[in-house]
Amino acid sequence: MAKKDVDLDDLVNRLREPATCRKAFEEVISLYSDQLYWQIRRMVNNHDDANDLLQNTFIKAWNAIGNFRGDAKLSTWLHKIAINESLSFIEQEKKRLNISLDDEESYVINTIEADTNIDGDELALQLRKAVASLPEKQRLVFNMKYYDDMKYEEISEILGTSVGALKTSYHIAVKKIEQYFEDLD
Amino acid sequence: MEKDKDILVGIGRRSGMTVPEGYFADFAERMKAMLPEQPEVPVEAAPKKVNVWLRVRPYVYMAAMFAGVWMMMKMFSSLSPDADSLDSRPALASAISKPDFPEKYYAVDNVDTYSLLDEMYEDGVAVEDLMETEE
Repeated sequence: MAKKDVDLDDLVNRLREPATCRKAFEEVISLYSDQLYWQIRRMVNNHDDANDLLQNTFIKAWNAIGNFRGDAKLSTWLHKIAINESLSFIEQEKKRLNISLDDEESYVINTIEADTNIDGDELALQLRKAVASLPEKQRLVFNMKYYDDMKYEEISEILGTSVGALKTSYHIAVKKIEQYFEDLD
Repeated sequence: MEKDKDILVGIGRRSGMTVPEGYFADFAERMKAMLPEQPEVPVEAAPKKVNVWLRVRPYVYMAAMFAGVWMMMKMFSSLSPDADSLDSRPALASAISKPDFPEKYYAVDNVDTYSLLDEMYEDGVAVEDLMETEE
């Protein structure tokens, strides 16, 4: 089901009705699985974890469907849940594996190198490592802007940060990535 | 630097990550099957009725605590021996009880011994005994 073919207003209205809610939510799963999966995968860098977190995201969204009033866009609401789930997971992992702030970058790079679901594109792998060297917030902004091609306004709604700050954050992230590739040569 | 920018442009939006074959179709089906029939709304605890006792309880507890501390201090002070009592200082008690105590321990240079004895006699002290001891 392509997103452009779906009447999102109608979908939201059906989500609000108890009689049509479940069927509408199943459509939501089909519509947003792909987008949310990549959002999560780029944060956790592992397919199995991304799969579990995507399931948790939809379960949480389903249980909180009564709180979704349609004020925010459906995608924004789902992205927020997915990001919160991913950040909580990353925090838990850091605590579980006792990873200090200094070891964080090497931990992410190790996770990327251990990832088996890759296509062998060396440049893309280097870019993932470069992104891993960014601080968490910049990494999120870069992923959303560069990979998902989201508008700053939408990222601003999801992350609760001003558009100006996001532009600055993205600009700095790009500079750091350029520097990363420069240092590789 | 231009070369590096070209790298970003060249990579495009390829992340190099893949998913198992047919993952998204399977996921949607699995997820739909996994979804609870009804959203599991967390049960909110009914708000507690706040009565007068609940409101005054912290103050009552605090007053009871202060009363307890006061009583404890009172108890300890009653148990401890009186610092000023002669019973707690046997050496002093024995010294005072000696008849030559006034002469030994008080400056009596400018006091006539006999006037002192007269005064003591008037006060009912057995002066005769003292005189005998002195002799």
